Amino acid sequence: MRRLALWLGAALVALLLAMALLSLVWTPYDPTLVVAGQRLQGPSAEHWLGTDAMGIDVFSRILVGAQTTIVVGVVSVSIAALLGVPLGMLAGQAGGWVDEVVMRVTDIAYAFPALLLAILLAARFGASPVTAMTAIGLATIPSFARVTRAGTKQVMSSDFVLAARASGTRWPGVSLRHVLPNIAPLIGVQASVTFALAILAEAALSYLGLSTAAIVPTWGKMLRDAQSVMFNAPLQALWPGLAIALAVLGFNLLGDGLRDLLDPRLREVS
Amino acid sequence: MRILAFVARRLAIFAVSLLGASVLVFAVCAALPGEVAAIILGQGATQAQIDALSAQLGLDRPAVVRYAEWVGGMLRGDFGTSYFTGQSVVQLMSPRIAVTLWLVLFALLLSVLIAVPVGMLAAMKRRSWPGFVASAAAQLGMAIPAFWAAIALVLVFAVGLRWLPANGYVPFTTSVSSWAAHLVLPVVSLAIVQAAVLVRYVRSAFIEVLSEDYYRTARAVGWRPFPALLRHGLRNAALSLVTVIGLQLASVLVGAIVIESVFALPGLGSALLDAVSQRDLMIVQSVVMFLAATVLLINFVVDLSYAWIDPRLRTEVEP
Amino acid sequence: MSLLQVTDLTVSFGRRRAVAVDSVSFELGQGQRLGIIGESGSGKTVTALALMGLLPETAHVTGSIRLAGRELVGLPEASLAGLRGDVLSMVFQEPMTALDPTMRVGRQVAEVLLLHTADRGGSARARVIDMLGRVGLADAERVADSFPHQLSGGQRQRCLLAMALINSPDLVICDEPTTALDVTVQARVLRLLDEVLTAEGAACLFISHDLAVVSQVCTDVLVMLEGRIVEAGPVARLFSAPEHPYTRGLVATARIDEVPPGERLPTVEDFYPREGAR
Repeated sequence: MRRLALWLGAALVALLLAMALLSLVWTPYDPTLVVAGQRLQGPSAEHWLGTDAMGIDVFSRILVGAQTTIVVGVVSVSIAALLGVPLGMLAGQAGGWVDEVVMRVTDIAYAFPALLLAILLAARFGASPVTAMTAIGLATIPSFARVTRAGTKQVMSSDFVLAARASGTRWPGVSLRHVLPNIAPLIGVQASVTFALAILAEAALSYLGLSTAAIVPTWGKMLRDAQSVMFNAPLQALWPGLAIALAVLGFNLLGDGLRDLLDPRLREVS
Repeated sequence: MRILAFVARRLAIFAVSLLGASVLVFAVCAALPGEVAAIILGQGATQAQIDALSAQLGLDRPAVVRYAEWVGGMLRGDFGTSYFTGQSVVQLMSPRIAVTLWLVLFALLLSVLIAVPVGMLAAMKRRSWPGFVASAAAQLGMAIPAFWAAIALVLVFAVGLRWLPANGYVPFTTSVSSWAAHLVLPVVSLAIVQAAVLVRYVRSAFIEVLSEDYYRTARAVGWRPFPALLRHGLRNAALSLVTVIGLQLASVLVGAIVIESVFALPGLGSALLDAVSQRDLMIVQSVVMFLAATVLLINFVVDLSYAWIDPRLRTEVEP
Repeated sequence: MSLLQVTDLTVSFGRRRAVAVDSVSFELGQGQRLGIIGESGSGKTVTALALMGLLPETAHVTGSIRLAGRELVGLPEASLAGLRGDVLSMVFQEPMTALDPTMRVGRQVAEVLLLHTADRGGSARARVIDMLGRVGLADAERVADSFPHQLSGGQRQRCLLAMALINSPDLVICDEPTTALDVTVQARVLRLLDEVLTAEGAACLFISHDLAVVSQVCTDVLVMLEGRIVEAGPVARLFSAPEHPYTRGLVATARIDEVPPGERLPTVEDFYPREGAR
């Protein structure tokens, strides 16, 4: 029971990865091939999930959409982690005014969630996947910084770090040898949860037409297309929505499962 | 005085945050004058045209001057004018603020009303199936994009059952019942997703309370589990939940932008999206600043509310 | 007939049924004081929580607990809640955290009174102030209007004692009530406990790891080790002629004042060596 979240999450994430990898080498049909004669067909033996308003095979588009989802997630999470983790470690180790400045900057950043930042960047630089990923990455820096800071503070006050510092280890050594390995699991949890957040944010941005301009299929854009035909073909909205929900669920469960695994407080024995 | 120092510190943080946010917005939208003019003129404009427009709009002055002008204007209630239509941003925003306000307010309220009892149930029954069901429902709710929930709700309640309108908005002053009917689906679709996120915080806040000594004391003097949690847990859990709800406001506000787009509600969000597609930077700059300032203001108020909830801040410590 | 009659009480936890309390039986008469002594993990606190019916959901309880002839094991939560704070009450170890930090102390004491009395008359305040006075709080009015963080540890423990005693219970269970306090405060609270229990005529089950503390309040003692009772008897007899080697160790460590200066202090392990120790 306790490991259910972890395994279910891992399975869903693995499924997402498998879909993306599969779509690199094979899709049932060309995901950009417009066939005029077969618009909005229901599920059938030829088209498992039917065809969309342009006659494109929906299943093929879902498969290719997995690629976009992973790319957006990996890039956003990397931006957030690469900037947020050092910032959090700095704040947690330096303390004092450095800590105060970092925390106040993250306070400001909380007023700009991914979507608002993406809107701001899209207005200035034009809507593109790059602005979307940048916005999501930048907007999730604060949560990485806060988690890292809290973890760092905890590690820094532990006896083994005190011992290491007492025996003359300088701070880069302490950071790399003691702090980073100890907070790595925390960062892993945060990365998983942020990945889920990035998928949702990207879906919303594509839906609003603020991410992809090109024909690259994304699940959010498929929902946008589906909305215009929802009175005739409600199933069109089901598949991409389901794909988004399962991917987000997977990363959230994975994050939760990892957290339970790490947090001994949650393992209530008696 | 502890409480005065506390309020003063919070006020200072609020002011610094506003300053930082305005610098960020200005830097993105207006710091480089040539680009603003180039965006307005579109592709194919010559450098001479761009320079001429920049001069005409006063964009060739130093950034510091323009920043001061923008902030000074906002403090006096002047949020600038659209580069394209010449309409004042305040005029554009004022009828729309109410729409977004109702949506956000009701969604936040509904999500709290759903999340607190469900989260308490999930905490108390966490080892048996009702708790498991509540937690699983929260996980599912968190995974669903709000706009997808909105589409589904429209399909069922507007297209299928024809109980409620599928989109649009009627002002409160025109017809109260019609106003309410148009808000139901947007509010519900925004609230369920927010509620799912909140449930998890409520759950862990109450699990914390369950392990507290004062909860055990309450049980030992004869409170039954649920009343004990209500009587002695709610206020204590509220200490951590109030912060979360404050932070949630930012995501509700942003969620409202998407939901307004789904339901074609004439709120701030749809104005913002229109401005983005026309690349009307002045509108974007001021509306984004307005939204960010609102979030910062609410979080400031939330911080202050601690002084009211937590007696340790309100009263002096006596030796 | 004795007030409390515990027979073959066994408590186990979790799916693996790890046994924390193993076939424990004892009796306690009206107004009697019984100490339970043992180290952490010996099952003494679990025994107390079993009597209160406050064990976590994962616990399995078998055997019998009779309070004034009434069987408590298997009693529904509603009936148990009616007894708690009324017929039997408990004082916990941590006075610093056992009070609700967001509520005035007087209200928390009054709550216990109102919870178990039908009439909601205005006399509650007067009774709370009276009770706070009886547990030795000189300025009871001011204490009643204070929040927990404004009081000292000793004051808070007195408030908890007032909560436990305000409904004149038959049995008060004290789980290391003074361990978290300073030594000087500890002595004062113990003396007070002794006086108040006598005045109220309540029986007491006093749990501690410290034989010296138990001997100040109790007439009889049970020694618990690894979930079982290894020795029982009057305090005086236990001190003069301990039978079980573990008890001998406890007595020796409780009498460190008899050790000549400069000599090594005795440990329990000197008398009762265990696997894994040292």
